Amino acid sequence: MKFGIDYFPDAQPDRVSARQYFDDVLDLAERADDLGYDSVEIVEHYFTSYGGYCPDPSVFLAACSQRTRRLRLVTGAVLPVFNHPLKLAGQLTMLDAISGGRLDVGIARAFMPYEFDAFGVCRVLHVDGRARLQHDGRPLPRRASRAGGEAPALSPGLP
Amino acid sequence: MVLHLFVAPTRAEAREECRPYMEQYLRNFSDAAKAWTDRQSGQYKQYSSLEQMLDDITYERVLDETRAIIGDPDDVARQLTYIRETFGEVYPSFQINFGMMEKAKARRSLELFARHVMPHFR
Repeated sequence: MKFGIDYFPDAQPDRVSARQYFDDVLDLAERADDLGYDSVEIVEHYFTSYGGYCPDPSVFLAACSQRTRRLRLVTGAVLPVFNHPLKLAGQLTMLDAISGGRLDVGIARAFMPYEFDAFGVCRVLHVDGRARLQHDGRPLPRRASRAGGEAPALSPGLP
Repeated sequence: MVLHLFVAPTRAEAREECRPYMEQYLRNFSDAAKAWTDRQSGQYKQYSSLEQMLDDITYERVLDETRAIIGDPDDVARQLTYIRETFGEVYPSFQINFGMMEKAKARRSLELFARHVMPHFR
């Protein structure tokens, strides 16, 4: 049976600063690595003490990759709706290379209404009961679509 | 599967010390879930009642219903066995520092679990 640790930053800035929070969780990840845990995972959220200290799992996991030797690094999860998918794929590929192939990617759809509202990238969650994720409408170029389809394989080496 | 984990040398310590952190975690989640209270979405059914659902969860219910893994190492092994019997071969991912818990307490959970519980499940 495998065991991981999961970070959900629910700290409030007036009590625990972001600097303090990340200092703590990097130390704990290092300890978990020594103790034989299998993975470290972090969320993507915005703006509030509901996870808002971590709008970008890649940044945190890149730091973890340099403080740990064996732990798998897990996005739990990244949210393509708030990130251009090509940028996200490139970023994750870079993280996989930096960490020596330790990345596992989880992808989710997001669910906090104020996050959708602030990004304004999709009209969703209105009271008419119909929710549709609507990107800004520009179709991805064909070549990019193909590349996007291959993204989960996370093969190193971007064009 | 994400599970909150709090391990202490004795059951009494674990249950007493964990309370403020779990209550803080639930309060914080409930505050965030208020954003859903007057919204509805066909693709996010039941989220509109998330705040109410969270407000109904007390620390006592968390303990009684094994909604988190809290206790001494023997308790924790039993709770984990229950989780596995209920959900199958899960891969637990432990929240160890919820509710603005001090690092020393989170580290103690990590260490006690690794030393006394993990070997039984490997």
